[in-house]
Order: sequence, then C-alpha cells, then structure tokens
Amino acid sequence: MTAIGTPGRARGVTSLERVRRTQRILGAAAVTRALAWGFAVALGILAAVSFASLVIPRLRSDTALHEIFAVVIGVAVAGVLIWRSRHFVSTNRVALWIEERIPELHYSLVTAVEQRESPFVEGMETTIARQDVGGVTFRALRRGLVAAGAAFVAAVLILYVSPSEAFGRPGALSRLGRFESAPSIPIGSRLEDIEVRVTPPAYAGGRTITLDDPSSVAGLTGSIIAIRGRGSVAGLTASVTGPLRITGDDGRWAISLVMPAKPAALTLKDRNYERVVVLDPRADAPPKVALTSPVRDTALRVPRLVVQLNVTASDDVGLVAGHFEYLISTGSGEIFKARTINTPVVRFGGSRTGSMSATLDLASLNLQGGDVISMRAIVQDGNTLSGPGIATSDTRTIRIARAGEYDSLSINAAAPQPLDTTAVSQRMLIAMTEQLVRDQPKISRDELVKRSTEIGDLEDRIRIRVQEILEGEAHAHEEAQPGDPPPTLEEEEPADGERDPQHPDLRVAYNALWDAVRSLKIAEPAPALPPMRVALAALDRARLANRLYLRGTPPKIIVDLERVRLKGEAKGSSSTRTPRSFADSARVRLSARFNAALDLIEKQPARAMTELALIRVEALTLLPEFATALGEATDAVRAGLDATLPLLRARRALGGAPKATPGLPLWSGGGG
Amino acid sequence: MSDFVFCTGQYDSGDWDSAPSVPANLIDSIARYTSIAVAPSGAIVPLSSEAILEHPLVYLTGHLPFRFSEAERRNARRLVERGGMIFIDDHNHDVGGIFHKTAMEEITRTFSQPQDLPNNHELYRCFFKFSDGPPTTSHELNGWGDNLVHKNLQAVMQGDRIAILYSSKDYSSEWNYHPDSKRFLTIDNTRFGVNIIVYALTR
Amino acid sequence: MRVLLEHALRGVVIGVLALMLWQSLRQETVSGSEVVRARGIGGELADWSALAKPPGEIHMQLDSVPSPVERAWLGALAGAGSNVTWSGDLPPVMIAAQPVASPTGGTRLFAAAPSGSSVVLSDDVGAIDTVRAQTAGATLALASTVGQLTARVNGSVASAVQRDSLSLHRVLVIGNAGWESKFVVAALEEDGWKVDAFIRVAPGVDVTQGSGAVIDTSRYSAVVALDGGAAPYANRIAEFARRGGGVVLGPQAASLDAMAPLRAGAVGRAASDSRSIQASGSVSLATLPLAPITSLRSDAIPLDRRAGAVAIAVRRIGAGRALQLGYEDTWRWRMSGGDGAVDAHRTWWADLVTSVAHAPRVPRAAIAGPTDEAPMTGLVAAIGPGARAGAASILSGPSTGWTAWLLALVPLGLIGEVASRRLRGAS
Repeated sequence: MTAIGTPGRARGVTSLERVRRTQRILGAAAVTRALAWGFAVALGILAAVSFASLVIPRLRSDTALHEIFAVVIGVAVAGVLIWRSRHFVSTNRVALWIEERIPELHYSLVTAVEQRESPFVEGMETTIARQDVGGVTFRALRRGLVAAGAAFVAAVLILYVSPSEAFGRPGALSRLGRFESAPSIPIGSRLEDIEVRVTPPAYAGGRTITLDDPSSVAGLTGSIIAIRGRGSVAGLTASVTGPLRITGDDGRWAISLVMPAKPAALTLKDRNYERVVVLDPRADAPPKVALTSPVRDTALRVPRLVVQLNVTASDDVGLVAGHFEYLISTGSGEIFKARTINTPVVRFGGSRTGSMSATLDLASLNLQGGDVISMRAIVQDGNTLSGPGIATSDTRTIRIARAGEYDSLSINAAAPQPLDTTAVSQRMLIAMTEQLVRDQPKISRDELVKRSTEIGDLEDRIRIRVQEILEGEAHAHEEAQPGDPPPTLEEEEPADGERDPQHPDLRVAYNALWDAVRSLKIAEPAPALPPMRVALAALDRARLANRLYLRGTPPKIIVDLERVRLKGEAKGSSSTRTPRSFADSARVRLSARFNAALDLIEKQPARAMTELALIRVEALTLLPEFATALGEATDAVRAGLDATLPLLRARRALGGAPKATPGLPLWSGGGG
Repeated sequence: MSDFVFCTGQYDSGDWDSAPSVPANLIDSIARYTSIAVAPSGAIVPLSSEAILEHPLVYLTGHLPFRFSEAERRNARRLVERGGMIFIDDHNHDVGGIFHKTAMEEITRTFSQPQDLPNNHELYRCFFKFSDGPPTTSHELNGWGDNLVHKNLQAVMQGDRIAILYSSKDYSSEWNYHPDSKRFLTIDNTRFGVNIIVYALTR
Repeated sequence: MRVLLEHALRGVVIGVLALMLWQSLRQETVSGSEVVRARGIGGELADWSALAKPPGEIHMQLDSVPSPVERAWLGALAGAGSNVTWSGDLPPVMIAAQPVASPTGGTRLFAAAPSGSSVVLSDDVGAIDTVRAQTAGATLALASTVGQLTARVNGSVASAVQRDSLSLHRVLVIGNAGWESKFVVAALEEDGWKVDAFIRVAPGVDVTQGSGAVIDTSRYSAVVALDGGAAPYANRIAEFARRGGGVVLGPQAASLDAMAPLRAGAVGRAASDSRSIQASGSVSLATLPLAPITSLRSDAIPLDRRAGAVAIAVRRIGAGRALQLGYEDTWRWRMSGGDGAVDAHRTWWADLVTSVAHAPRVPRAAIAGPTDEAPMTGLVAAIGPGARAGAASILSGPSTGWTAWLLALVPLGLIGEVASRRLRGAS
C-alpha cells in the first residue's frame, strides 16, 4: 500500500492502475462499513426490544417477529450505505475522489486516466507518482470504518448484557452463527418451554408420549423421562431425591430420569429461577384373578370327585403366567402335615385378560378321612421392575369327613358337582306334592296313599338330614312315627340353655318338615304344602347364610361372672397409654400450606407456583382429588388463564364442602 | 353401655374352632382380675359377615391353611382400619407348619409383613407385667411343633398401635381348658390373655 | 355578517359568565331550602360538600347500601344541617365470623338475612357457597378461609374477617375400660385434640394418659365423663364447669347423683337394647340406643332430637358449659356404620367437645382491610331509617354536568371570535 507513494518503486505503475487499486479499497471499505452499520442497527434493535421486554413482558412472546424486523432494518441500512457508495464503480469518479483529497495533482490524475494517449502523460504520471495516494485513501476511510466498527461492537455488547433470554446469546446471536462455541450464561430463565418425553418401561410395551411444557408428568413407575430445554447447561441444576446429571448439546440442555415409585418433585434451578415439575407415577397394579369354579367349599364323605377348576384373570398391563396350587393338609390333634401340588404353568403372552382351567381327580390324591384340599389359582404379570405382581384367587376347600364323623357336614354341596344323585330336593318334593294335589280327584284312594307316603318318606329323609346337622347322628337314628307328636327342637331344648342358638332357620325347617311328613304319611298332601314351603324357605335362608361349619361347634360355656368377679389373687397394675396420632394431620398440614400459597399468589406468583407444585406432590398419594384440582389450577396459572375455579375446587376437595345449617343457632358453641 | 363380648372369628379355610374353651377361659380371667363389664359367654362370628365389625377384638386360631376369602379379607381390613384388633394364634406352634406359612402369607397380603413386637411393648405391661415379653407356653417347652421357644410375638401396626397380633406360641393349646380347672394351677397362665384384652380395650 | 357573528359569540361568553355568577350567588343565598335528589350517591357527595352551604334536604333512592365512607359522609352532612333521608328496597344483611374451638381450626360463619333470600358467601379466593336463609339467616362451618369474608344479598354486601383465634387446651376423658371409652379417646385424638385419659380397668388400676393434673381450665378445655368411672371425679368436674370449663356427659355419667348439678335433664330409659342391634353396615346415629333426656331444665337447650325425644341438650353452668348426651355405645357407629362411619363418628365427637370447650380468644396479629359487618345497621345509625318511596318532596336543581358545559362554552366562544377576526384581517 505504501509503495504507491514511492516514485522509484512506482515506476511501471500507471495512473489507471492506481485509481483501480484505490477503487477496490474504497469498495471494500464501503461494503465493510455498510455491513458493520447494518449489523449494529439490527443488534441494537434486538437489544432495545430486549430491554423494553422488562417493561412489556409481552415482547418476550414473539421473538421471531422482532428478529425479522431487526434483520430487515439492518439490511436496509447496509443497503442504503452501499447505495450511497455506488459512484465508486466508476474509475473517473474514483480519480476525482482522489483529486479532491490531493489538490496538488491539479487534475493530472483525471487527465492521465482519461487521456491515456496524450504526449503529456508521462509528466503527469511523474506528478502523480510523487503523491501518496494510498496514505490519503487510508486516512480518508479510517474515521468511517472506525465509527462503523465501534457501532457494531457497542451493539453486540448491549445485546450481550440485555436481560431477556429471547435475545441473549443462545437466542439471536447463536442463530446468527456468531459466538457459537463461546459458552456463556444467558440472562433469562432457561426453564420455560421444556419438552418432556415419557417412555414406558419395556415390559409394558407402550408408546413414547411427548408433553409440551407440562407442570406434571404422569407415567408408569419405571418409565424413562427425558426432559429438554433451551439454553446451555452452565449453571443449571436438577434434583429429585438427589441431584441429577444434566447434559447439553446444540444449545439445549437435557435431563433423563426414571419415574420413581412414589410421587416426587423434580426441581429445576437456573440461578434465581426455579421450576418444579410434579412426577406422578402410576403403579403397575397386580393382576386380578377370580376362581369361577368351584364356586364354594364343600365336604365329602368319600374322596371321589372330579373337580373342574376355572379361572379368569386380568391385568392393567399384561399377564404372563399362571397355575393352580393344591395344598393337601393331613393330620389330627397336634400333628398336621401338608403337601403342595402345582399344576403346569399356563402362559398368557402379555394379554390383559386370560383364563385357565384344570381338572383335579380327588381319587388320584390318595386322600384319607380328615384331609383338607385347599385349591387356588396364582397368576403373575410381566412387571420386571418392581414386580412381578402376583395375585392369588380365593381358596376353595374340600374336606374329607373322617369315618364315623358326621359333624363336619356342610349343607352346601358344591353347586356344579353332582354330589348326591339320590337326594331329592325340597323344591322337587313340593312340585311332586302339588302335582299329587292336582291329581287327587282323579286317582284312587290307594294310589293317593301310595304316592303321598312316598313323598312323605323322601321328606322324612330331609328331616333326618337336618336333624343330623343340628344334633348329630344319634338323634337321627331314633325312630319317629308319623302319628306321634313331633319332638320339636324347642321341646328337646336342654334346660341348661347350652344348645347352639345359631341355626334358627334349620330349626324352623325341621319343625315344618315334621308337619309336612305327618300330613303326607296320612295321605293329606294339601295340608302338607304350606309347611313344606315354610321348610323350603327356611332351608334356602340357611343355605344362603354363612356356610354351616358344624364340625366341633364349640360347646358354649357360660361363665358365672358373679362368682368369679375380682376373685383373682394376682393383681394388675396401672399403666400409661400412648396417644394416637392425629388422623387428619396431613390434610390440616396441606390446608395450612395451601392457604399460605394462596396468600402468595399475588405477591410472589413464582414462589406460589412452586409451593402449589410441592403441595401437589404430597397430595397425590394422600388426597388424589385435591391433587387433581390443584394440577388444573397450576396448569391454568401457567397458561395465563383464570385459575379461580380450579383453586376453589381444590379448596373444596381439601377442606370438604362447607357445612351449612339453616337459620342462626341457639347455641353458638364453645369459645372464650 | 354394652358389655365386652369375646369374639372368635370363623373363617372358611381352616379349623377356626380348634380351641373352643379359650373364650370362656379368658372371659373368666377378665372377670377374675378386672372390673371390665364382660358378657358371660363369647360369640362366634363369621369373618365374612358384617357382624364381625361389632367385635373390635377378634380371636383367630387353627391348624389348617389360613386363607381369607374376599369377603373375609375385606372385613378384616375394615375392622383394623376402624380401630379393631385381630389376635391370631398358631395352634400348630410350628413355624414350618401350614397354618403359619399360610397365615403369614395372608396377613402380608391383606395388611403388611408382620414384624417382631419388642418385648418391652406396652402390651406386656398394660395390666400384668411380663418383663421378658410373651410368656412361654408348656407346648413350646415340651418340644411340640417346631421345638422352638419363640422370643417375640409378631405384629402389624396401624400407626403406633397393634392391629394384628400374631403368636406362634400356641396360646390356643395353653388356654384351651375349662375355666373351673384354673383352681389346679399355681399361676394362672391366662393372665397374658387379660393383657391382650385390656390392650385392645384401652389402646 | 361575520362581525355580527363575532358580536354574538362575545355576547354568549358574557351571558354564560353572567349566568354562572348568578347561579353561584343564588346557591349561596337559597341553599337552606334547596332539595337535592340523588339515585345512588356516586360523586354527588363531593359536590354537596363543595357547596358553601349543604343542601337543606337530601333524599336518596338507594339500590345498594352505601359504603361505610359514604355513610359517614352522609352522617356528616346530616350533622351539618341537611335533612338526609333515603328510600329503597334494600335487604338487611349481616355477617359474623368466629373461630371454631377445634384443633383443626376452621371458621363458623353466621349470615343474617331475610328468610328465603339467597345469600352468596365468598372470600378473597372466590365464592364459597350460596345458602338460602331460613329463620333469619344461615350458618356455615368452613375448614379454611382466606382474607375477607362477604355475604351478598341483592344489593347489600356485608363483610367481615375472623379477628380472633382461640387458645385450646387438652381434653380429659374419664370412663371405664370398654369400647366406648377406647373409641371416644381415639376419635378425639384423631381429630387433633390432645387427650388426657383416666380409664378404670380394675379397682385401683387405671390406664392413664397425660399428667393427671388438677382438673382446671388452665389445663383442660373440656372433660368428657362417659360412665360410672367418672364418679370419683364428679365434684371436681362440676367445679371445672362452673369456672368456665366444658363438660360432656355420657348417659351413664349423667345418671350419677354427683353429676346432678351438671345435668340438662333426667336420664330416661334406653330406647333399645344395644345388643339387639343387627350389624349390617347400617348402624348410624339414628339406630344407636338412646337414653332420652327427660324433664329438661328451663335453661337447657336441646341440640338434637330423635323421634321427639331429646338426644343432646346443653346448658351453661356458671362460666362454663355442660352437654348431656343420650346416645349410648357410639362406638358401634364407628365400627359397624357404612363407608365414612369412622370420619362421621370422629367429627361428631369432636363437634360435641367443640360445642362446649373452653377456649380463650387471642386477637390475630394481621387483619386484612376494613370490614362492614352490618351495612344496613350502619346506614340507619348514620342517617336514620328509610322513608317510604316517594314520601320526600322532589325538586331538580342544576347539575354539575350543565355547569361543565357552560364553562366549556366560554373558551370556545372566545376562540371562535378571535379566529373570525384574524381570518378577516382585523386586529
């Protein structure tokens, strides 16, 4: 550059070349200055909007528009500046520009450029060579370039310290491609506009769900929760029960965690900013299993029965396997033994519902009298994280009566099993008697007596069966003649009052059966019907009542309290009692915190939101309805909507509906 | 005010009535040592019946598998949640026995895993003092069952009170005699039963 | 023509000024007899007060009760010589909030309003409930409130805050060992009460809880005597009540001779034998055995009746309160009642104790804003009862709105005149 002004070294450099060199310098300077001013203006606008967003928060919401506006203005400014430098495309204008700044040339440069064939060119070239065109050009451009550069630097600095994250480094500047690799901390919160992806555990086979800026995250326990937000990692912290690792790339931060088993608060902190995300785990419920057959317990005199077992099962995620378990107890007195038999495992293949069945032949079990078989079904789900969830069905028992022992009968036979094909039900006997009454006018006396006596015999067998149950076999074998007055149980009631009073229905049935038998055996079927129906109703009631488990119905010992009262020689001593805990302490504690948070809503909304989120974490387990309403309220506040209604719902869920009493009370209650 | 009625719970799966004299014996002891108004005879109530809730203390025992039906399980839970207490005694006194195994499984399933009750618990001093914890039974000392002397009773707590009291000591055998026979004993071995009832009535 | 217009504008300005001067002078001279009518008072009060002499008579047709400031202002005008009257169909409404003597806190809200009217109750969060007033009002028990409480009936709004909190002490439960004593103690403890207990197990053998201190109001807010186990303490319990304590007597305790001074009435025979109750999940207060309270004392107030028989009655004893209970075996309700029976039994027992508990008041530190507990009363106190509509004579005076328009005419007229002169080149 300095060679331009050195005559010796300038030899061979024509005026035209000097002008063109200057022209390139001027062009480059003009473009540089225009770009600098353009950028300065654009960044200045962004910085101005950023500062203005302190006063007008709405400005933070539509940052793209502001950026476009700034870029357009910047381009316009640069364009104007470049337009104003358009004359530098002409070498004559450049030559004049130089002549203007070096009057000593006396237009020799312009002439030399324009009259290149003139005989005076050499002289003019000599004159021109004596001048420092380059130095003059540099000095002329310096001020403009320095000003443009200073403006650009100032704009960058102002934007750098601007308060809004939207226009801070991670926002505008990084998108403009500058300072991409220079880590720095933004001024605004990086905890807004987070994206949460919830991936259920592998065994559940569910799809990943993406949530946009949620205040709470719900999912199966063990789900992977991935959270991403805008901005760098520097200065960010996250914790649930302990600190979490935060990673970052491409100008975004990310956290990955596993959904805990109990509700928890994920606390994110960015310097003074804080955000709580409620983790709302859904437990994988254990399966449900119902033994549909056999439907009830039973007792058998002989261990000959084929039992059909059927089960239905369901699970909220998926069933894996199931089997039946037979537990056979043997023994008496102080010695009991047990053995367990498991059926082969049935695979459900992850379906939500399933069924299985098995057949158990009691004869194959080599059972003895007194043995008890307990049968149940066991199913499990596919929970590989906290499980597996195992469910067992109700247990059905089959008892084998001991030889000569008839005190363990249940009057409830297992319904699906044809236990006693010779037994004729009371209902059928009533039907037979009704038919006989209808046939009575048409049949002979002998036929009537025969059929009525047959029904009477069958009825008497039921009576004896009931008597067996009530009193034991000895009474049942006593012969009773139809003509005799029936020995009703009331008459047989021992004076000591120790008879079991727990089976009034069976006693009613017994007495009614006696009446029916007597009428039937004297060939009067019509009068037998009412007591037969009474007996049926009583037997039904007894059948529907709890299973009669009469084995060893304990003797009722009545203690003579007056005789023994305070006659013991040993004396007790006073003791102290430990107070019980306050049942509703959690509700009261939450209520106090909730009211405090409501007080904060206007004064410190961010603090109130954090507090409400933490209250919700605790409420998820204790008061789910309150937690739900609270979630709606926090969502409404976060979305800038009116949260009054959900807050009122939350308060009502927490404190219950107000108890209104009509009128003003006569007694206003305790107090000072 | 109604009298205290000692209740034996009747459950479907096993021999709930294996210790028929225990209720009368404990009723006798309550009358003998305390002024508590007690009914002269006990009640036998199916655990599957809502009537069980009329009895905040329920005694369960047996040798055979101990499994609740759904109705029994529901009522047992309700009884405990409402402040009642269930005393379960293994009549086999055998931790390897079927009653113990199934009862532990059922208690865990219905409530939670029973834990050893500390031997300084107020159960052991709420009326008579048992400074060494639960009194030993003759069946333990005679080597029946599992041939063990169990140091602790086990319990499921509801808050800070006993909701389920589980014994492997076979008090059902120890107390299963007619109360009139007490006169042959030097020391009444049902005194711990009084503590269980006083605890249930006052805690 | 333009000159004529300019003269006219000048004349208008002079005329307006003259009119305003005349009005000013006239009001000063005739205000003693001016009658001003206002529908609602709005900004009128300021105008009236700006006058050199207040209007002689002010009658307002009100569709809402004026605020306390407006009422005070009207009172001041009345004091300054104006005859202030009002008319309007305004429903009287009043609100009072008092703390509940319960460890869980809460507020009892009393709203007085014409029978049949709908009272909208709210606090600083929002609406709480709408209740229909019966026999002159309604009562609401609230678990919690925030800020100021308001009751709104048509145009009338009353507001209050809970100014006090209560200082609660312990509850002493005395009885024999049994399910009733166990579950009464449990219910009160579960409700948050600190409970001391004397439970008799055998002669000389008690299960105790708490220090067993002297029964006085410095330690106990209430004593619950359930049965004969309270007999040894009867005299101390009576003295406790006379000194301000609260006492709850179960039927058996009430039948003790030593408890006679505390009884609200005689103890009748139990209506049903508790043993006959069938446990079917339907046990409730209505099915419990009841020993009705008969021969009610004249100063006793029945709080609960069943089939005409008094089930709960309460009375004042000296500085204290005593409540007599007719229900027996309430534990059966807790154990054998339907879903929610435990909560219902707990709340019921807690309410019984709350209704008699000794609980000295403690002023609360921070109270939000001014309140207006009884706006109608305040209005009547300020300017007297309302007149029938149309009873007052009505005249119309110039309103301040016209004055403003007249005042605006002055500069407009002057500007118009000057502009006209300039436009035609005149100086």
